[in-house]
Amino acid sequence: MNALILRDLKLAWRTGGTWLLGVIFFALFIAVCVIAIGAVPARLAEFGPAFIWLALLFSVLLSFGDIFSADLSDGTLEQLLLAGISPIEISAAKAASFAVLTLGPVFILLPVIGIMLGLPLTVISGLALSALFAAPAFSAYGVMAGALMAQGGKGGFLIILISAPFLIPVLIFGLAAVDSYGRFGIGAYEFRALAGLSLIALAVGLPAAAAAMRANIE
Amino acid sequence: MDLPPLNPQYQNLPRHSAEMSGVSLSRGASLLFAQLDLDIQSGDLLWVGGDNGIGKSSLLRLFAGFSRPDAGTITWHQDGARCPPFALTAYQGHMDAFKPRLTPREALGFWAEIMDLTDTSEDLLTRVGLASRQHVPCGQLSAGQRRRLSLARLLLSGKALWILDEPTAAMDEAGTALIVQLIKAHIARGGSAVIASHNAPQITGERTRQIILSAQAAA
Repeated sequence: MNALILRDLKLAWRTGGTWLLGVIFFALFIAVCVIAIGAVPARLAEFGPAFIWLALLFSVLLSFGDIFSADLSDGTLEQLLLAGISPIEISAAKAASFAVLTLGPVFILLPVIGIMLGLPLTVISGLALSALFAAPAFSAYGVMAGALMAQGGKGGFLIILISAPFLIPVLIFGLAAVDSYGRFGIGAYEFRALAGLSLIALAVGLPAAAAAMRANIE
Repeated sequence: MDLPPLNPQYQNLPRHSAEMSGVSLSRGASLLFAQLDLDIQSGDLLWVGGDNGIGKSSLLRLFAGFSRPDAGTITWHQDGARCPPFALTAYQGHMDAFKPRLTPREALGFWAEIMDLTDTSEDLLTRVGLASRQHVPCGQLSAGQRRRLSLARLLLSGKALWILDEPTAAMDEAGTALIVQLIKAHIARGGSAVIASHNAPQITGERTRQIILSAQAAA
């Protein structure tokens, strides 16, 4: 499993930056939002956290399609199964490499964007922590949607429609967590809800991805 | 062409068999085959012939354990006990699972790590005639060279039952001779192989059989 994660990282490195498209989109989305509301500091402070969460949501949604498509279309998944790697292990490895390659750069950029928008430090920490709590959910639903839609390489809009219902609760509690962080800190109920959502996502998303993978290969 | 003996890691192949009984499979509305009984044991070589689209690849994927039949059963045995298909089968189809940006050495090294085997890629690449290309990204290899690389992974896997789908496609004469030689050596070590090919069998012997699939009336 580690070999698979390391290979994904190596391939991403050699593919010359396509793995950075998600984080570039993240920055671009925020820039567009700031232009749209007119860059008034008071408004930025009010809507900033929502923009950042939406940017996070969209950048992961758009990255889901690439998780499995290459490995399915070139026969890698078949050979992995032959090598005795179970579908659930493959899903877990894919979730891990997605977290590192797509979520990692976004998490690094997130505080910087927060500072640029002039958000208070507590809001920025709340944002970073809520995103971190939601990361397993993003990864698990990502591999699920990616595995469902890998056949034929048709990600696009359908993948967004499939994953949106799963990710909207995460968005709701993520934003609520940012709100509560200022008053209650990390102990806020919303963080527990986020952690719960992430655990459900792992329990549902990884087996579903494994089943979809098997069906794709058959 | 004489090759050095194989790494001892791959010397002994277990006694094994794969058995199909009463297997039927259809694709969409058309029946590919019905009530098919086939069995293959250590030392057997089975050639599957027939026209394009007749179901050769589907039959091979059943043998490999990727898909399940609509009716009938397939069982795999190793050392007299039932085993999961992937313990026994190595499959080489139309897709070779080599990433264009990895070199043959890196690719085989990766598969060795995944299969939990010692990385003998240098030795294997020499055997399949790719020693001089081992540090060239796979994306720059020719179709035939990539086929040779697939053969190296087949040898690496040390699996007993080889499932080969048109192994000589895109291969030059020397490549075809290499495949024939590797299959013969594999059979001699107690391995077995199921090979789909629209050409006449290149290997004959008493343990070699050929089945020709032909069109079935729709059920």
